[in-house]
Amino acid sequence: MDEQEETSRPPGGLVEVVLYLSPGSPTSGKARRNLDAALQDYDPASYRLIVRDVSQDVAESEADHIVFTPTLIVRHALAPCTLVGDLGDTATVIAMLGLGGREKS
Amino acid sequence: MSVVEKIPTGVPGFDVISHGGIPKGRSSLIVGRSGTGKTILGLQIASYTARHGIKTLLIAVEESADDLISTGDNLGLDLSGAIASGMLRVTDASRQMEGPMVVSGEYDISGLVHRVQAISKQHGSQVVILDSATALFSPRPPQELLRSLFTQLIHSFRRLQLSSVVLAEAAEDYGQLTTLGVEDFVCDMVVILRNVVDGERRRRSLEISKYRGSGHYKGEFPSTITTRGLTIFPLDARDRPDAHTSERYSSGSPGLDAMISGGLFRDSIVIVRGPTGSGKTMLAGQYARAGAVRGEKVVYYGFEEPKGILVRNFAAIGMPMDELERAGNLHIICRYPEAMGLEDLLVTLRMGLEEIEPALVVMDSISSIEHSSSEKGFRQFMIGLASLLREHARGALLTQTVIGSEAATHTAPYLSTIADAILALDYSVGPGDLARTLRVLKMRGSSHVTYPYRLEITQGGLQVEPPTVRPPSAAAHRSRAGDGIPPPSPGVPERPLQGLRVLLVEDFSDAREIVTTILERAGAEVTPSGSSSEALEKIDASVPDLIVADIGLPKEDGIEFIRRVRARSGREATVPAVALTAWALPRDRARAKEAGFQAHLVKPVDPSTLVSVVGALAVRGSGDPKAT
Repeated sequence: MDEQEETSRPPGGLVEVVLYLSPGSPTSGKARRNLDAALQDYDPASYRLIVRDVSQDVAESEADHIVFTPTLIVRHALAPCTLVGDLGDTATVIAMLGLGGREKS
Repeated sequence: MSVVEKIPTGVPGFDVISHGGIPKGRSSLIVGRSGTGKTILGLQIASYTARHGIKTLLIAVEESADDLISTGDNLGLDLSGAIASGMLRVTDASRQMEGPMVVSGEYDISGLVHRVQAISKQHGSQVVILDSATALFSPRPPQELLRSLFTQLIHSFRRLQLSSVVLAEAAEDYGQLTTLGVEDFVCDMVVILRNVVDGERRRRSLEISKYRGSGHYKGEFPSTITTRGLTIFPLDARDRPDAHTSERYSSGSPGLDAMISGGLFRDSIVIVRGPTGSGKTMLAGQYARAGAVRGEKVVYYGFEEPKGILVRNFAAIGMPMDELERAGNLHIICRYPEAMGLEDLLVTLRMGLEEIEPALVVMDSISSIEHSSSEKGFRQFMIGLASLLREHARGALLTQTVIGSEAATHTAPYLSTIADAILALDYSVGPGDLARTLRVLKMRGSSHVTYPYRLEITQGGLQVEPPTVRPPSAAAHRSRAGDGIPPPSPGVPERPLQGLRVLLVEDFSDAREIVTTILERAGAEVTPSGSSSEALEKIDASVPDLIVADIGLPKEDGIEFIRRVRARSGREATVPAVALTAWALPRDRARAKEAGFQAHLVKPVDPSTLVSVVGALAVRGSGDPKAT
């Protein structure tokens, strides 16, 4: 695992956000920035963000069937959602995160 | 000449048409519509390479890794075993179905490339098989991005020194190769699988449309899918490495062997053509039986009647097969080819030949296959069959039913090419029995008799005999009575055997008639008889001036007959005798003379020779010339 950031575990339903990136890829850098921007308004205690490097985290990539990068996987109470691409469509990203009501106070 | 290093695939027929397999270190594309067998072909290659020391990585995209392994195991490819041995590694890149997937913005294929890189390094993979590109790029990216992503993927395989096989969906059998429309530009080899409707049947085929840096067979090759996977039938009939032999073996009929200068060549394919009732099955049975009696393993495919009836009919004419089957030398397999597709029939035949490993194969008849398929389908079948036979047997005989006298006049060009020898059976309806004939139309690499021999169905099979009289070769020999018997040569008296009483012993009725006519026309009084016992009775009644006897008589042959005559105490002990026979070897001549014949004439005999020998012998033998 090249880089991993974890928020403190909140009480109640924790959303797991996993972002697979490719090292040195401009598109991956863009995705990371777009995700950070999308998450900035939400309470860090409501989600756990994991950022993985596909060149290092091979076992995890294989387990998650990763083909393209960037790929974002959001796991919450409902079925997991997958979003492939640079996460430039903020509205779609926010909708997939499902963090409505958990904004920072 | 091929300059590309190849990896054999083990897929039956594929390595033949690809001149050795897939290109090493390069990319191969297998395309086809849904249901053409792309996955099966991919799994066969994976299984073969893994089992032959080449570590292989299989990327499952279209279906899950577990489903793919299960498919392979069900085909008998033992993917699970290959995985357990460490030779095969399967990685799952299928789309996870439990949640939605959205594609938005830019992306690259680094995820898969890094996975492949890491796995191949850790596993030592040399071959990678991707099933499939179509599923991988679904939903489909914009064309430019798609081209870029696919090219990245293929180049990464190459950079990793992997030999890749990529499967891709086609929208149609003929037209744009793949639905994505980019893969074939990038790959070094392109294989097209098809499954089209041809008449009332589906016809599968495989074509290599592109192979950078390598030769390959062009065009579509018939293929089929069975429980053993995909099999391709190369149209090219490959020679066996040891096929160039001049060794001969008996056809089962001494008369036929004599016509073709001593027997059939090893590794040759013989086609026996003729109308219904001309004796094809009998000749086929005789051929099979002779091989089995010699101790060779023979497989007889009967396509026209149930086994029980076939075997019963053979037994009824003195060719029992039961014992040979019990001994394991003869395998009789009867089936109705109409019940299955031609490709499936070829696969069934291949499986049978691989299991039985016969020296000789009989198929009676290919016409039942011809009648249940399209012309193109039959042509492909026959060429595939020829390839199969040359690969698995040391000789084959196929029968073909034709209408009327077509046997001697018409042969489809591809059948003519396949056959090393073509025999034409025929018959004409005379006032009495059928007059059957056998003609050798073709015998590659051997001299052969070009005029028809006579055929008679006897106990023990077909008896092939030369015509009693050699047919006139040109208009110079015109028949006086239209009976084919030439007139006497100029300067020879019209009736040189006037008053000579000749006893003729000949079992063939037409031969009896012809010899009788020749001798009577020369003035002799001929007493014909059909067997040794009948001839002895005739002698008891009246001793002739001269005897003309065939050697190959039923029950008691001509040798035994003349011995009996010579053993008698009366005038018949010294009656001159002429053997008139197909047995032409020096030892046959010596045997005849030793038994008591004064002269030995070989069929077909020239009428003037017969008359002059009979005349000379009558003068010398009795001292009382009857000839004038």
